[in-house]
Amino acid sequence: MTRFLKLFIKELLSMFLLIIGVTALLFLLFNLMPGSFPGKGLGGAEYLKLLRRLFTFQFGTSIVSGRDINTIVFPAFRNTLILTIGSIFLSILISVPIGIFSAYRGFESYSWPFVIFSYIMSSIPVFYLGYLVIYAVSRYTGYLPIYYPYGSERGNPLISYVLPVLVLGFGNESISEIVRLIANELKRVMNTDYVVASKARGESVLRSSINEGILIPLISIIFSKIPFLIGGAVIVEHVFNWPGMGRLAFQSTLNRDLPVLIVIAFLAVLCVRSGMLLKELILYYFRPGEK
Amino acid sequence: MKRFYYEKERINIEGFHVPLSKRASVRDVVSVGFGLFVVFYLFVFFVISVTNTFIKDPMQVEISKMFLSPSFEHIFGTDFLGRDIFLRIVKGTEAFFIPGIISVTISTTFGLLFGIISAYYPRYFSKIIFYFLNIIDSIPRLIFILIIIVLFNPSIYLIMTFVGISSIPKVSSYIKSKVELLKKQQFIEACKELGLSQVNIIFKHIVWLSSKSVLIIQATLGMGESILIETSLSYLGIGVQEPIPSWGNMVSMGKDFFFQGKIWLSTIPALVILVTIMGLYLLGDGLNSIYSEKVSR
Amino acid sequence: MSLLAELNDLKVYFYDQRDKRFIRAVENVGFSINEGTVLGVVGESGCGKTVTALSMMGLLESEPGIIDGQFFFKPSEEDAELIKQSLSRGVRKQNDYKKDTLFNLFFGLDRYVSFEENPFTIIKDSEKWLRRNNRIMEHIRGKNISMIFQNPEQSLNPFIPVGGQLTRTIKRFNREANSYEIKEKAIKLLRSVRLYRPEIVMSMYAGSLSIGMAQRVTIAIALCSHPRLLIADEPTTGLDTTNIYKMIELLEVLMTEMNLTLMLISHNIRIVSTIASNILVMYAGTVVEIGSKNYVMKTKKGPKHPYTEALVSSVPSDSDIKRGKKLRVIPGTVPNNKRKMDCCPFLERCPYAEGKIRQKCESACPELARVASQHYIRCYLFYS
Repeated sequence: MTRFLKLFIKELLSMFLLIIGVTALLFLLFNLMPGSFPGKGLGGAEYLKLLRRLFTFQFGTSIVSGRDINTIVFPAFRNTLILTIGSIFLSILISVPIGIFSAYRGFESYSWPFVIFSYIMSSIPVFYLGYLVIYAVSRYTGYLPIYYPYGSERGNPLISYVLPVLVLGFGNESISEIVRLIANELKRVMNTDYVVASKARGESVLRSSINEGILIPLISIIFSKIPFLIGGAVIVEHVFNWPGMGRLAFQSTLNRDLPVLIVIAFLAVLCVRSGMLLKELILYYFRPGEK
Repeated sequence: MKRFYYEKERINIEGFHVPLSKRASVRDVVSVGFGLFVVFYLFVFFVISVTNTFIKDPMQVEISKMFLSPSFEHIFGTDFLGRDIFLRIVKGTEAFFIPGIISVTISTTFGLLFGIISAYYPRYFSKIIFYFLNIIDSIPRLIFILIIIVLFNPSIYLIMTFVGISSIPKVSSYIKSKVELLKKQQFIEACKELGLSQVNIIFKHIVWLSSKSVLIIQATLGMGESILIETSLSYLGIGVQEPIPSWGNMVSMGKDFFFQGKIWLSTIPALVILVTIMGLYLLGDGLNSIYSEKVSR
Repeated sequence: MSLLAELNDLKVYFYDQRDKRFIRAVENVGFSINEGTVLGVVGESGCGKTVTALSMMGLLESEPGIIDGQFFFKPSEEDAELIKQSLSRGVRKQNDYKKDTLFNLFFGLDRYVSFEENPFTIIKDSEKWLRRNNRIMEHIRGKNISMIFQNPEQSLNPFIPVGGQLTRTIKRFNREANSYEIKEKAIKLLRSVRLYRPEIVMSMYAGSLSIGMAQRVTIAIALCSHPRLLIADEPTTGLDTTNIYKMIELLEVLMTEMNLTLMLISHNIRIVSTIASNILVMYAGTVVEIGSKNYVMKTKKGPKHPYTEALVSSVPSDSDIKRGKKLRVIPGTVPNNKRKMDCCPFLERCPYAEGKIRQKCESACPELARVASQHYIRCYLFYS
């Protein structure tokens, strides 16, 4: 327990330091920018002000629309969270069985089509996939709402989550990576001594190799894929007109709305680093043998 | 007398027939072959577009030839201004080829450098370097690029430089773990005892003989990633601008005609992107499996 | 004393990826084990002992290769029913049963795998068969045959505490038992392998056990299903000398307690001879001598394969130590298995291969010759 606490405090500290570092980097870039800008100015005082705004979650006002950033960012943040978490689960659901299957069959004739499918899915441009899906759905079914009912009360928002989650789940680049990682790791673990020994006892191979072969690689890759998912979310949100953080980031890029952009970057980094913290803690639970 | 047996043995062994399915991994050969084919056509397209040896100008607008579907004359059809899509795809390689190479060069060289330094000085240097690398790593790449675009309004070259910078952490952590693994191995110890200089050991035995595969794989993956980034940015309208063709803006221009049933306008560039990136990924993957098999044998 | 298992004419070849050819791992190995006896398998490393054991368990599937032979086994009555059901799905053949209670666990091998000796050609592949075989082996592994491995620390799952692995295995064989009973049984088992303070051991991970403890835990896990046959693959490697005999004693005690039959694999013939009733000596993938312990270990007179003789004299006995006798070393190494057997495999290291006999030894590999009842030797010296 004390070791767990130690790890937790250490990770928390490094997370805090990294967030400080990121904000410092952003502040530096902000000051390197040519031209004058409201809120710009070198010096520690300005930086401390920025830090205080960010860490108290009082983000101030947008320089373009003049609205309070909190009211813009948090609903968008929630929407993006739904999108990314849903698509992570979808990706796992698709790629893990393929990985297990190809580990068992060793990329033989049966698993070829699935592996090729995973490669195609991770190299197709996600926005093209989005348009393809919209085209197919609107042309042939007309059933699922393809755009988020933005600002209106019409339609069930749960149904409108389906398509974006589907597209991001299939189209983010991680499917083939997860398949490859799990196929390799599981194959390696399946031939280790302890798995063979447990097979000799009559235990199923998958059950005895699930910890080292599937869970640990899956956890470590999923949490390190969070930044890429947020990046993919920018595109998917643009395609589906999804009022999330990515679309907001793109709009503020077009509007040169820097305060909003910094807040978004801060929230994204917060997501990424807390994902990493979570990863370390979960891996600590799964990797007890480090003695 | 002894020799007689060995002769006999040799004959017997050659008599052993081996089924073809077990002779070599067909999968690796197919992957690497496909990847090399992709690299080959990328290179040819790039050379053609740089030397400007087109049959017809890809920028030339011919309104009379709007929306022609694929035929012998225009193998990939024509777009909404009557421009030949195939020629535009050839021309479009220019948009990411050099920038992609820049980004790959940056990520591999600096990744290698930081990886080796942090593996050899694990106390302070490693911690400081990885602190900074983690900072870069924790900002989602696309959001980082958006910030850069707001701040500096850069060209595609500068954007790709930043893409390269943002993939340094991945490469250097790979290299670091690899070098740390190798450092403990006995052949490196043996090299030290044979009196080889540290620089010689690092560059010849660790980098060239052992980390080559990691670098090649990272380079192919990095090239694929930079193509994806370029297409995403062009799709968002902040990358390469019309009328200069790039694969990304061809897809995003074509999507407007998707609902009119003219799907080849964006499907064909999208398929080209798909095949190219898949080829690069498969190349990296095939090389990976070939190299790793050699190690395990 | 009824027959429990019988292995006939086992052949295993591995495929060498680099040289693109087959390596002979095991050829013409056969023996039988009666219930309640101990079969000791002795030989240097690389002689095919472990491969024989693994192929008996149906665990040889990582590498491409060929397996051929017949392995008759008498399972417990419930499992016999289950196996009969799964066998009846295929085509029934004469050599799938023996005396109605012994089943061929290499069932259907001849339908999936076949190869010609001269020239060496594979006609069918074994992969399909392995998948099929797993269906039968589900009823065999653990319940009827258990195995403990050479490196006990690595044969325990490092991610689950010892107790977890033990209770998990117990639970699979007693579905009705509640968690309290299972824990009781686990503790009892750990006590029976002479592990003190089993409650503490239960919560430990494989990495923090000593080799001796880990070996005891693996034995406990192997025994929790009450197997009929226990294959112990070098259970004494890594232990120090005092613990070796403790371990062997433990195995002997467990045999009587749990009504076990044991197949003990070791490279030390003296350790094996302390409990074994039959000894099988393997060399270069074949059996060179098989017989009851009294014949094989007989020191003074009587027929004995030169290799067995060398093995016996390379390990000191008590009397040898008292007399201060020098140890003998077997010259040379085990020959390269890539060679096809066209001469006696022990030829180059054999002290007796001289003169007339040597010509015989060089001309062909000798057959196993019967020298006494239940004593066979593969050597021209004892051809009558």
